[in-house]
Amino acid sequence: MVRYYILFENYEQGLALHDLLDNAGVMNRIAPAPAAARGKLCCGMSLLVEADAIDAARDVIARESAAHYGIVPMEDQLRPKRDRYC
Amino acid sequence: MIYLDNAATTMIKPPCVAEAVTAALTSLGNASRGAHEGALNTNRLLYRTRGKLADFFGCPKSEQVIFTNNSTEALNIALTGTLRPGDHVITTVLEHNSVLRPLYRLQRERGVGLSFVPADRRGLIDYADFERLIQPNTRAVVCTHASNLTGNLLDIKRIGEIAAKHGLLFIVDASQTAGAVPIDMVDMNITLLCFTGHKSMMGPQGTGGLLINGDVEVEPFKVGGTGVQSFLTTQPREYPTRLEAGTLNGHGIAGLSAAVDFIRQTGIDAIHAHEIALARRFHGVVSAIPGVVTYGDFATWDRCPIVALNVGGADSALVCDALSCDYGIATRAGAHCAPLMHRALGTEKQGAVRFSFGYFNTDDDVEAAVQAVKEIAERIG
Repeated sequence: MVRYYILFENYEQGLALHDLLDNAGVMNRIAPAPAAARGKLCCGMSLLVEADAIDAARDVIARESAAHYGIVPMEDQLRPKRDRYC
Repeated sequence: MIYLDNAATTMIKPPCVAEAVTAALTSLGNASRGAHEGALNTNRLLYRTRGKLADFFGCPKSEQVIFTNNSTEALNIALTGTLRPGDHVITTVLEHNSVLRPLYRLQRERGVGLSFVPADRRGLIDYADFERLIQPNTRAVVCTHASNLTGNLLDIKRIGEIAAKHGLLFIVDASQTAGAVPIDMVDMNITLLCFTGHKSMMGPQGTGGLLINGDVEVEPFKVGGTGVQSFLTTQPREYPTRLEAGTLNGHGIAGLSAAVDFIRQTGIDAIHAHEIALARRFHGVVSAIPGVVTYGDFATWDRCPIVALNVGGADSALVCDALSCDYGIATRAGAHCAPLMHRALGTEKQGAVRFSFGYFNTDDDVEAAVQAVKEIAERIG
């Protein structure tokens, strides 16, 4: 399953977009920036957006001219913990 | 939340620290600004706390205890305040960016030469390298007391003997060890000790210090108001005023002072023994889980209570995220501001998941963390 990580140059940019996406009703959550995706940025936060919400997220970014470093698709490496609430 | 990111900061503080900060918020004036009771309250607090810290770290002169906001600020003062154009410095690949970036800047701006003591895949160094790397213009040895990634301790006393033998300044970053491991500046031949108050000292964030052992001229990193000698156009030369321009974080220092009392009363050895017992138990189980790789030297437990690991080839950030979201366990993934250490360990691309234990962690926390790592390893397969 492919998910999308929105990367930033600092936490301030990330939290600003997090607010914008929340206000626009676009599902997203803060996650550590994956090593494989972050490239030269190294460390820091990302916003994790599922595939069905990434177009809406892109619309918000374009509309608000939101600062971000890039958007990287990435395959999940962990199987879901399906029985967590069983 | 099960908090296992104590190497970043100890989130849970002793109750006496919170009480001291709360009391300070309604009782402290501005130190050295006036002679009324509020100002003097703060002056007395600073005076007493300098004395406590000097005693705690074996610094001969309490007036040479300089308050800073953290280790990074202390290191910037120590390095920019002592290194001159053309000097050469010996440091190690274990260093945090709080050491590396000031040194790189001095390399660019003052032509300071840098040599790095390498480490092997367990993060171990060869102490003979310090002497091997000495050049005619070597001015200082700058090194961490412990790697913030592996938890490996360096033998500071041994390095201090080398520095003293060759007449070098010995600047130590005690970010991971202050409050957790006994430090005696005189016995260890430490010239300048940089510490932070919010990690193992269990004090508030925004506190820390630089301690100066001996007659060392450290030039100011910042200049400005001191409340004294106001018609002087230059910064006063007396310590600590020389290095403390601007209002100090009195409220935070009140908490730091209480934290030192707490460590004294509890016993630094008892604190360390508890934390190491947790780390040792955690490492003993997780290191045997198929697919789990730990980083550092675990042949000895004379170390910091840190266990960094990876699970299979999984991205450390995804493992850290699963620990947080699925198990409520706070750890730290990524590069930990220690780029050269990751390079030495071969974890530059994957990063690592760092578990770091604190005094307020329990056996139950370890059990939960072990179970979580087991399940994540199964999920990765």
